[in-house]
Amino acid sequence: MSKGPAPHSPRPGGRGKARSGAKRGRLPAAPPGEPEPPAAPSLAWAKWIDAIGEGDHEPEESLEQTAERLRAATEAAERARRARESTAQAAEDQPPTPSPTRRSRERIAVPPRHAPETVPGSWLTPVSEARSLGLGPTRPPKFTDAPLEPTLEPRPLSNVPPAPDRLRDEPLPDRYEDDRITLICRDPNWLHAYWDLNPASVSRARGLLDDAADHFVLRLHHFPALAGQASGQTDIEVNAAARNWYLHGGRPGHAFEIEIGLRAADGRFVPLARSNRVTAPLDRMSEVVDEKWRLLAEDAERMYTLSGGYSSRASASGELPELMTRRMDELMGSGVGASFGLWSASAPQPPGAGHPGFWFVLGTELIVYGATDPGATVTCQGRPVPLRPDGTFTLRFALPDGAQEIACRATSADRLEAISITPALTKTTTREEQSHRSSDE
Amino acid sequence: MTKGYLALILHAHLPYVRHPEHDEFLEEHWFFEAITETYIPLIQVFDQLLQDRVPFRISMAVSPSLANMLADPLLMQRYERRLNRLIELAGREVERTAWQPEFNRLALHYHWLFSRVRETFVDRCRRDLRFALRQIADTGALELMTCAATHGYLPLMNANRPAMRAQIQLAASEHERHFGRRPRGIWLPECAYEPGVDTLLAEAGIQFFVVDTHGLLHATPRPKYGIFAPIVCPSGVVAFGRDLESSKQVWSAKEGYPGDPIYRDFYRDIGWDLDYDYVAPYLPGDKQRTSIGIKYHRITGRTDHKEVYDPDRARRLAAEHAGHFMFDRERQVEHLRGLMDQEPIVVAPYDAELFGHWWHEGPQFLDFLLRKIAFDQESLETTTPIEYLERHPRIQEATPSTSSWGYLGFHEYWLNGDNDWVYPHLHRAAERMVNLAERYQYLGGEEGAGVPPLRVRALNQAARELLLAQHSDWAFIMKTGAMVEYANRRTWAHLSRFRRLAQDLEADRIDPAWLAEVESRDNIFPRIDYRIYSP
Repeated sequence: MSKGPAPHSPRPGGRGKARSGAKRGRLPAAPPGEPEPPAAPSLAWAKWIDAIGEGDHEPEESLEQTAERLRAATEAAERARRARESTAQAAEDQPPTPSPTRRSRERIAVPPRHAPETVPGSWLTPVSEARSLGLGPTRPPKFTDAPLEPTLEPRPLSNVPPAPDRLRDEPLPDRYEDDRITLICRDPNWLHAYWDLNPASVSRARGLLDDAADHFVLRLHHFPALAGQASGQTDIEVNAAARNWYLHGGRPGHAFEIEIGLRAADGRFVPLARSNRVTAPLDRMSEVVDEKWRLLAEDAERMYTLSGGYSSRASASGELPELMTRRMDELMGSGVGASFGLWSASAPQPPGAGHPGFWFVLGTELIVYGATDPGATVTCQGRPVPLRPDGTFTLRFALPDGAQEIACRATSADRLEAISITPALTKTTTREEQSHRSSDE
Repeated sequence: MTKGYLALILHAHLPYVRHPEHDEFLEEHWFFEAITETYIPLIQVFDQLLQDRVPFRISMAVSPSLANMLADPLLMQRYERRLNRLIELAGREVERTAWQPEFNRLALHYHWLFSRVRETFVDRCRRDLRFALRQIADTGALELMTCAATHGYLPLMNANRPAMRAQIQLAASEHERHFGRRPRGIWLPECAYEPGVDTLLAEAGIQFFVVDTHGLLHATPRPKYGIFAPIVCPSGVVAFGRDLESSKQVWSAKEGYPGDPIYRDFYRDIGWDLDYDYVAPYLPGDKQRTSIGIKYHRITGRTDHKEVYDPDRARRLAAEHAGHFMFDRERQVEHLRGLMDQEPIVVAPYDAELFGHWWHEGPQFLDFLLRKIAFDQESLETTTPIEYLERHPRIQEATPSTSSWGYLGFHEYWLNGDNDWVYPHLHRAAERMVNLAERYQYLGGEEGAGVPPLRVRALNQAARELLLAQHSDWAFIMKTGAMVEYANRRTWAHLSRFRRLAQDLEADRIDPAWLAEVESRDNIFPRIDYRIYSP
């Protein structure tokens, strides 16, 4: 997963990607208005027939036995697949029920039966400008019900409709208007506040101020971590449409509360809501020493460094300890050892898709198929070929460069007659590259 | 003689993904892949070590959401179906690659591998991995830990104590239901801690947890031994600190073992490489191309051209890396022992799914590592946190600092412009759940017998919906940018169902048919009791 600079991060710097060289990751979420990449498609599908693998296998068997067994199993699977396909075909032959949404049903994760028109107009895809700034408000994201373009056209599989969604999940409320502001501490230096005001309360406050030039203001209060440090407050003007904000606290170890209110040009302030109190974590070793454990300062420094910490210089400069920044850049995956990154941050892609320029891959396979008396035995290159009940068979081979003689032989059930057919072929591959691009393109 | 200890901790977790409303569902394959590639190979490794009488200790956290999936008949039935399909496809691959000996050998290898997984699943585990894990834990070699009920990110719950408590209390009771005993240790979701979480752990009878390196280093007061000894919170719960060095050797993109060119490449997969019509029957759900689990190439290097994988060579390398890892830990504890007046402990936690799913040779690495530590050296011993505490009861008292093991060490990955929209909804829903629990707490008397059964069911289901919405995985996915739509929908669906349940309860107009449908869909925690939310 390769990533651009982390949104909201006070420090720049991209993330290292995972192991191999090609770009595998996707860009961070699509800009507003663009559909998300097709994420979780699913489709009701005819029941698979489990043709093989039901029986327990003997633990010891020769390679030949394995190969033999596998061919038999493959044959059974092939039969099952054909049975499925003919079922599906039969279903296709039925006059299809009028279903204008069938296309989108096949492409979208959950069938959009829970009435897309009632889905809230405002809560899924977030806004990018706030992200790129690293602070400031994020508008409530938008739900996009635009059709999702799959990377591949799904095969028409069957006319089995998706399970009707009987739950009819309702949209979430866009606003709560409960005159509340909540403060969250994100890290030693950064805070996040979200709020939801009742328009009536805002009007009342406006009436009290009686100033056409009033502004919404976040008033951040900070409280000392240790006795002797001063408390104080900072005002931040925010846009009236903002619903949340990232704030730089810059005081690790201190406690914070935040108020939102209206401020007049002359400085009068009418608070509308006040938050909970949060305490920012330390970004360095605690100053508190436990007397019982007779800890010398240099010992503490040494154990700190041995534990993977920084040099004391970094601490003095007030930077986040080196250990956190350095290692986060080095470790794989965007979540850094964080759970679940192994699935969501590492989606494989087709071969070559990570290539920066134009690309083309080509493979060749060879299908050998035939038919004989159902009671006959057939071999191909000396190995037995399983027949379908009607006496037909299909073999599929990856075809490498070089010469192949595909000696096939059918022997009658009474072993009195045999026919050999031997196609021979030579495959060669050439490759040529042309570019009409000028070098500065 | 023993100079110090190594505590390996594996954290196994997946969000609860179960869609009975669809016959096949792409995201359920996360779970199926994890069983085939990680959980069963780990069980195979542990079993073989025990059979060979290798003394070893390891800890593994199984999140309650994962345990509930392992216990679900529908999912396990679907898993077996998937595994059979994989074996079938591997068989077809053996035939298809007849003219390519190096691929043919690998196809046989996969066929053997999957067949062996099936044997372990059916014969050894009796189709229930919890059974096997519990048996291994009973030998004392494996310490089973729990995790918050639905992997809720505790420091982002707005200090709602009853909501956080429910995640912990439910985790403890679920652990007991699945594994037969109360958990002694917990892996906090995303290693995310804030002071006060430990008190909730103490209430649930949990004795230890793990914090990230800086969470312990920045504890108050200063920890004397850095991360090489645990500290005990004022609540009495012990915190161990993650060792950076041993993490980095495995996780690092640059120097980490899994990135070696000899190891199997994660990305190249026949689901992407081969003819669509051929692989389509084996693709999950809607048949869009994705990974299937048969991979023929090795990492090779930073190039598009990938060489063919050689399992024997990779296996030798895994042994070599295990030796290297052990050697570094030996030097580490020997050095530390000279500086400390007690044996140091090196705590090395990893996502379990790293071993096998991402790093194909990971289970072999663990196998070699545990054998080598047991027989090839003397200064290092594997241990579990509990065993260490029994031997070293004298522990410094201190409170760890707020921290996580995510990007930059705090909460940013779960709180940013991509996912911050969830918290206003989640926080209000949690408050509403607490209010509901309070309102109905005494209605039914001591046993709750007086609450009408339909309401009890609605209350319990409301608790389930809240918990499912609280999966930290949804916020995580929204940030990674892949599968976002699914994470959005899940968050939205559970919050929406919660909301309707709360409204119906408040208005006393519960729709029994609708409730039954929701119960059958979101069936996690069958024995949940909404009163865990009582304030």
